[in-house]
Amino acid sequence: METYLTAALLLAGFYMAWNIGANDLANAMGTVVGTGALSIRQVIVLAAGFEFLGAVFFGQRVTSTIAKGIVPIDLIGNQGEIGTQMVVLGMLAATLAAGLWVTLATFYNLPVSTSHATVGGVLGFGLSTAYLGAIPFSAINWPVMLRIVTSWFISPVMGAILGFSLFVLIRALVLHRVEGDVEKYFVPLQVLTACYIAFAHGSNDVASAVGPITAAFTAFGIIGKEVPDWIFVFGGLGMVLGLATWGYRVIETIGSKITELTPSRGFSAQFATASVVLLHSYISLPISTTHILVGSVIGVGLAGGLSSVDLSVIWKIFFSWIVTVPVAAATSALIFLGLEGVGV
Amino acid sequence: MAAKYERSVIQVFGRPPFLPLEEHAKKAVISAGMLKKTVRAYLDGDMEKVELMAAELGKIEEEADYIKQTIRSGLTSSVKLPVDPKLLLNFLSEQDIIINDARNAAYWMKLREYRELPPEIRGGFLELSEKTEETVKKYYTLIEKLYKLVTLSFSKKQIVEAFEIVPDIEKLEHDTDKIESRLHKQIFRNQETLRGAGVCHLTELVEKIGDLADRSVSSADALKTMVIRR
Repeated sequence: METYLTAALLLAGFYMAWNIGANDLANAMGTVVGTGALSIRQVIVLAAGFEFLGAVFFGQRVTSTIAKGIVPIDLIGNQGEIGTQMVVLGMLAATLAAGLWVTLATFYNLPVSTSHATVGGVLGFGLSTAYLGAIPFSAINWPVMLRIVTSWFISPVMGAILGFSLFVLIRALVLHRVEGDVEKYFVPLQVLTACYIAFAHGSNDVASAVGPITAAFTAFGIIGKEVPDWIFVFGGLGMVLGLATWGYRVIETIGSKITELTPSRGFSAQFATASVVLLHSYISLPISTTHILVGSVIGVGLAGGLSSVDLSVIWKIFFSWIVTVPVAAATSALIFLGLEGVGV
Repeated sequence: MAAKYERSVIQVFGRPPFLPLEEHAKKAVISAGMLKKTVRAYLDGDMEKVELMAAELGKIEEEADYIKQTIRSGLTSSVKLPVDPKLLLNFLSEQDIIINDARNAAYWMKLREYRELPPEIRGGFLELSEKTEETVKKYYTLIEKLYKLVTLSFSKKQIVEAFEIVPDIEKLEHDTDKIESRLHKQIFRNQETLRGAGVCHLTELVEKIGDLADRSVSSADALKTMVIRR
């Protein structure tokens, strides 16, 4: 049974990683192609390398938050074999629920976040264990949950403020002072921000793929307290594969449509996004890179950097994440209770 | 259509209005050029060609209207622009009138045929239509220049420099005014041969052709107001 569950967990985690690479990473990289700084092939190679580095070397903090920061898996896992089984099935349910929701949302082009879905899935599992009486409701780490949800509000605003300020600064210091075609100086800079944004993305989003399976493997005793590197390598590979097998199409779509994002504007939006994402990886909070990118682009647009930005997308994002957490949580709880019920 | 397995940030980028604005301006230049040819055909008494050209101008006007509607529908309240959308629409309708004026002038020519016009009136009309086209062309260089600046994160200094073309447009418009008044005088001098209806028709035609130059100036003014108040 353990072998089957391990395989199921790895598959589910890999599917999530693939999805993240295919869409979220592709979005972050698409803006680089849009400015014409790099070709799609170059972007994929750079993104693959830096996404992988970010995941392996800076993915621990957020992964640990998803794995044990929200639901006290030690408390459940310590309850003998039943406890172990609960954690394993619960984390499998969380990943499956998140994967299902992200798949559905992607078909309908809803701007949902994989991080939100995973947090929702894990929360759904935690609430189910409390419902079954394994832990009290108060054992769920509500303060951490509150910090995470608050960061979902604040992080896109931070992206907007940073993007706005950066572009205003660049315009005042560079664009309006230097004669001739200034934009060309931002092309090499954009190669750097492409690496930066891929690294930041890897460091935060790998957790959505490997956070739950880390918790399950810890309960199984497959891994110890320290999360081994191979888990992050596994997540990193999944995301890179997602980018290479599917993400290039998303990059093409974005690249061909964002024609007015000049190198200086793209630089401002990407630099702002990467910085805000990396900050959240540092303070162990799982956030949505896509939402921060949207925030940063709006910031640059409001600074007069773009000829038009459509603010109606803010409501779509707001609505999609208001829905994501309860849906992922409920689906996760249903899958978990179902698996428990059939006595896997 | 099969669902696309894609989630993207593309929705945040509103439809940029500047690209179609330039396309719309191009229609104005094409119209002015075509009007010049229509005047030539008219003076040669080739009414068949005049009819054809008038139909063609009507088509261009429709295409321009379509572009105008596209720009308008892209300006929903959720879309934020670096310029005041009211001023943008104001500028757009000024530019649109240039195209309408060309169509109206061609229509006016269709209404009355002349067997032979005195050579000074003939020459005056040729000169007028040429100067008018020149004015619209000059106006278009301003649009082109600004469009390049918009795509390249322009500076205020560069914008002010671009508007240095405006006095040139005004000068050309002033020249067309002079040709207009000269033509008016010549028409009245020939009132015996042209007769009442002819005088009435030709003076109106002078106005209609000259309108293109007048509109180029007011369009440039509207553009300046829009960009400077940014």
